[in-house]
Amino acid sequence: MNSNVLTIEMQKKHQKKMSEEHLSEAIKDSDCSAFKMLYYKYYEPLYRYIFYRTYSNELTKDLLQDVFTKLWMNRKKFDVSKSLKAYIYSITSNLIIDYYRKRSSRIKYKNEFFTAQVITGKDTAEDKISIQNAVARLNDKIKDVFILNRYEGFTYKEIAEIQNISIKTVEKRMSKALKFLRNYLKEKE
Amino acid sequence: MRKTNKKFFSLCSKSLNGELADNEKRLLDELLAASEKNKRIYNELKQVWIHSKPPAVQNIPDIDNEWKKFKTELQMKSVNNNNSIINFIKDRYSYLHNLLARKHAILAYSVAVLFIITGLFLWDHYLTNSSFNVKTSKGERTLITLSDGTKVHLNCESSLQCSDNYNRRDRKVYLEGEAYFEVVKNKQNFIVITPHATTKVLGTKFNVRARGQETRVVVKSGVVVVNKNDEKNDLVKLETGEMGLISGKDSPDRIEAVDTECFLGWMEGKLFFRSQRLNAVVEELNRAYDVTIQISDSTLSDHTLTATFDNLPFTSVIHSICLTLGSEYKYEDDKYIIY
Repeated sequence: MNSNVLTIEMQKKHQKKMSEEHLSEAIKDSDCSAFKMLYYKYYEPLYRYIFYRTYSNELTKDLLQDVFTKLWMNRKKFDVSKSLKAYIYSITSNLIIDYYRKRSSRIKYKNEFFTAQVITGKDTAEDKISIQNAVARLNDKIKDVFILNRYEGFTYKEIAEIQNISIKTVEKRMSKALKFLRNYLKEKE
Repeated sequence: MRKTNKKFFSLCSKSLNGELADNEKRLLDELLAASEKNKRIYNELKQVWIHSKPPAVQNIPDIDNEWKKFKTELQMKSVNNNNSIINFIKDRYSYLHNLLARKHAILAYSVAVLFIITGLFLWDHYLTNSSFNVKTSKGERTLITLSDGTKVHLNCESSLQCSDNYNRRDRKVYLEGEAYFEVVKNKQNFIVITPHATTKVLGTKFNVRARGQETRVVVKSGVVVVNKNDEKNDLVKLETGEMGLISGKDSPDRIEAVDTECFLGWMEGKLFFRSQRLNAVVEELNRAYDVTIQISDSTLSDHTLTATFDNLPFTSVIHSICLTLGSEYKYEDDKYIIY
């Protein structure tokens, strides 16, 4: 009984990977409708991901357009054997880093107070607000790993692929993140 | 001791996000059983984990719209970039190819070289001909450094556009909203164009606020000349510590000896209100905190407020305002209502 269930799960995963492979192959061939499918599939998740890193709707919209533009422009260079999802998130992460490198932005940490208020609104559980603030204050590299793991649900292995770092580095950053968040809350008490 | 500490945190994180391997689970159980302190830390981390669910993201744009915009932008880009210049050169090249086949070799080659040079010149001109537009939304501020080193601090809900050829023919920028400029002195005048006025400086530090029908300029250091857009000769010269006001019909006003601190505090997240009507205060708060505030009692809007808020969370601000007015507020339907 167990092995049957396992095989079905594996098939499903295999199918999923196949369709992503088909998608990247089609896009590599400049298939517009395949790219449209990609756009619709990844728009919302990427929007959320970029927003968690920037806390700005305007900036997120602009960066997201840049992500898809870059994906399309570089379609010939797709490595079909590798994970499309990791590739897309990797491009996104790099564009965010580039943006902040080119334009120093003072508002990165100030936004957190304002945004957190609006986001949590009625449900003003103090803990929740503090944690959002704490997450905003995390060091960039650590924050990215934390967001990819806690918010986006990527495994350490996937994160290592996206960020081009070792799994050990992912582990270190995650524990640093949790350590920081715990200390931040303790100070607020 | 430090090393086991690190390892312990690492194991805890893995336990919380499901990455814990079986052999690691045994190690973690041992460490937890070993001391009360470890158990306590684990529980605290668990609380952190539970409460760090991702916040809801609001105002996600409509995908259909965004896709349409994306497609059109992409099409425009590829037409501009690839086709025109390359086809231009291709056409010329095929003509030249025929020419070369005949005996006008030298002429043909020199013409070819000429076209290549022209092509490169156009290409270079095109590449550097890009304009630059930065927008901030409510609750968002940013710092921009222009190619000549001039720094622009952009306030919430504002936009700055740089002309093509900035720092070549001239130094012109277009501003809507509010920004503080630290202009690097060079041979050219730095010009800020707002909907109703134009501000010219050489090398100075000043704040421009263009909201509604009014443009307000406050000079921190240096000399600035401001004129009305529809009447170029209607102008006013401002020096350190002076403020200029351009509003609609009247001639520009010049006010001496202002407290610049008041008008520049926004860059540090400070909000200053000096005898301002509640309406104006509410408008400013909406913009700075990205919230929506409504005043349900119209008699309240005539009250004036004098206050300074230094980087306070919004709830503190609205709380103190209500205390001052002797009123209350409630949060309903995504709006703060003062009654």
